[in-house]
Amino acid sequence: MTNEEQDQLMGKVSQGWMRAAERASSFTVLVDARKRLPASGVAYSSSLIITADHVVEREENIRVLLADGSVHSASLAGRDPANDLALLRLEDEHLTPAQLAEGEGRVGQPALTVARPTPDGIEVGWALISAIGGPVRTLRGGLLRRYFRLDATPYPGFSGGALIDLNGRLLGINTSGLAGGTFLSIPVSIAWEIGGVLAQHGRIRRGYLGIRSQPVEIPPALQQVLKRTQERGLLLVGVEEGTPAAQAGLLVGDILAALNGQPLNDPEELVTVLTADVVGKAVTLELLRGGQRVEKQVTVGER
Amino acid sequence: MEGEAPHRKENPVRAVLLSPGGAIRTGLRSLLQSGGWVEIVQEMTHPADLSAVDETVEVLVVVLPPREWIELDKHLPPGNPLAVLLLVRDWEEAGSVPLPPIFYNRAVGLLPLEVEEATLLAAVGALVEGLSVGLPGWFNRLTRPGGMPASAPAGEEKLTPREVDVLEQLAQGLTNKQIALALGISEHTVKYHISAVYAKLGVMNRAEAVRVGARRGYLKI
Repeated sequence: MTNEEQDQLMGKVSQGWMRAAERASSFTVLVDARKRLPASGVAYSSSLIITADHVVEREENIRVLLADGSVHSASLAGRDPANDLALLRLEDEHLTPAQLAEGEGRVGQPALTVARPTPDGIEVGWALISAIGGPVRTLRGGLLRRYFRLDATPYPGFSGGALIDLNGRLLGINTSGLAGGTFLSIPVSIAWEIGGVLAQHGRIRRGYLGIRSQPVEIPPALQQVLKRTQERGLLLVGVEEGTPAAQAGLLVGDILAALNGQPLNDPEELVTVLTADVVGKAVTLELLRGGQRVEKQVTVGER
Repeated sequence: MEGEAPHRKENPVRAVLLSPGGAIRTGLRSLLQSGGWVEIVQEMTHPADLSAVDETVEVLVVVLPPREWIELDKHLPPGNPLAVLLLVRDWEEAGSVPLPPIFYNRAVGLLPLEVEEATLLAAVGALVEGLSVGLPGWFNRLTRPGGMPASAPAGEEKLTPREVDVLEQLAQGLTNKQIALALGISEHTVKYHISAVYAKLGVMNRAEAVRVGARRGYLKI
C-alpha cells in the first residue's frame, strides 16, 4: 500500500467513526431524573426511551433533551430495578429510534460509548468489548443472562447511554449501576426484550410460587440427606392459599433446598431464579420435611 | 441531600481510595469526582499501602472484605485523624465481623456499596465536617460490641401490613403511580410508605428493598 493509499484509508476510517457518532447522536438523549448530574437514554421507539433504572431517582418532572435541543417532559412507563433498566414515555412521537446492530456484540469488537450528559452535545468514549459474561446475579438482585464487560471509562452521566458499533448501530445499553460501579453494557437483545415487556405491561413479569421464607441453617445430618454440602436453605414461614406452592402441597416448616437441582441458600436467590422465563413452566422443588428429602413438582405462576 | 459543596471547589476535599478491585475504584473515582470538589490523591489496593498515606488526606474511602477490616488498624499511621467511609457490599457478611477500633475515634461512614451518587457525595461532605454518617438502623449498631447483627431484633423494625403491600408492589417493578392505583392510595402516601420500608429494612433503593424484604420473609415469592 502506498503512503497515499494509507492516508486515504485512515481518512475513511476516521470519517466512518465520526459518522457513527453522528448517527448515534440522533437517538441518544439526555435524561434528567435525579438531583445531580443528568444521565443518558436511548430512543427505543418514536415515543419511548430506554435508560438505566438507577439514574431515575424521581418519578415526577422527568425531562429529556433530544439531539435537536428540544426539551420534553417524560413519564415513567416501567422499571426493572434488578436489571437496572427503565422505560420513559414521551407524550408525542419526537424520537428517532435507534438502529440495532445486526449481530450480537463480540469479544474484541471495537465500539464507542455515546452519551448526552449535558445540553452541550453528545460525548463519546472508546470502548472495547473485553469479555462477555453471564448469567450472573447482579448486586441489584437480578439475573443478567449476558453482559458485555467494557474496556471503557465510565464518565459521569454515561449510564443509560449507548454502546454502538463503528457503523453507529446499537450494541447495548451501558450502566455502571449493576455491579458496584463496574462499567457494563446490557446487550441490546436483552435490553429490547425487557423494554418490550415494560412497554406492554408497565412492569416486569416475575415467576411466583406463593411462599414466604427465611434463610435457615441446614445441619450436617440433613446435608447428608441431601447428599451434598449445602449449609443453608429456605425455611418456609408462609404458604399462601390458592398459589402454586399450596397446590403442590408445600407446608410451613418445609426447608426448600433447591429448584431444578440448583441449590438455594437464600430467599434472594429464589427471587433471582424466578424470572419471566420460568412462568408457566413446571419446576422441581427439593424440600427437607421431617428429616426426609422430598421432591415436588410445581407449575410456576406469575405475579 | 444535594451533595453539593460549592465552596469546596477552590479547595477540594483530598480523598484516598482503597480497594483491591480496579473496576470498583474506577467507578468510585468517577462518582466521587463528578461533583468537582473531591480530589482522589491516592489509590491503594491493599491496607498495607496506608502506611504511606499523605497527612493532608481528609477522607479514606474503603471497599474491603469485612475480614480485612482489622488490617486498617494495623497499617494506618497512629494519630492520623482522617475520616473513614466504609462501603459495604454484603451486609450479612459484615454482620459477623466486629468493627475495628479505628472506627471509634474519628468521623466514620458506613454505607452500602451501591449507594447513589448524591448520597455518596453528601456523606463525604458530612465526614469532612467531622460528622459520622450511616443508614438509620445500622448506624446505631456501630457502637455495639460484636458488630452488626444480620437482621433486626424481633419487633424492633417490623413492617406494617400496608408497608408489606407496598414492598410487594415494589418487587414487581411498579412505579409510585402504579402502586398508588393498585392500592387505592395517593402517590404521596406511597412515597411515605416507601421511605418507611427503606428505613426499616436499612436500604437505599428498590432493588435492595426487594432483596432484604425477601430475606426477612416479608415478600411472597
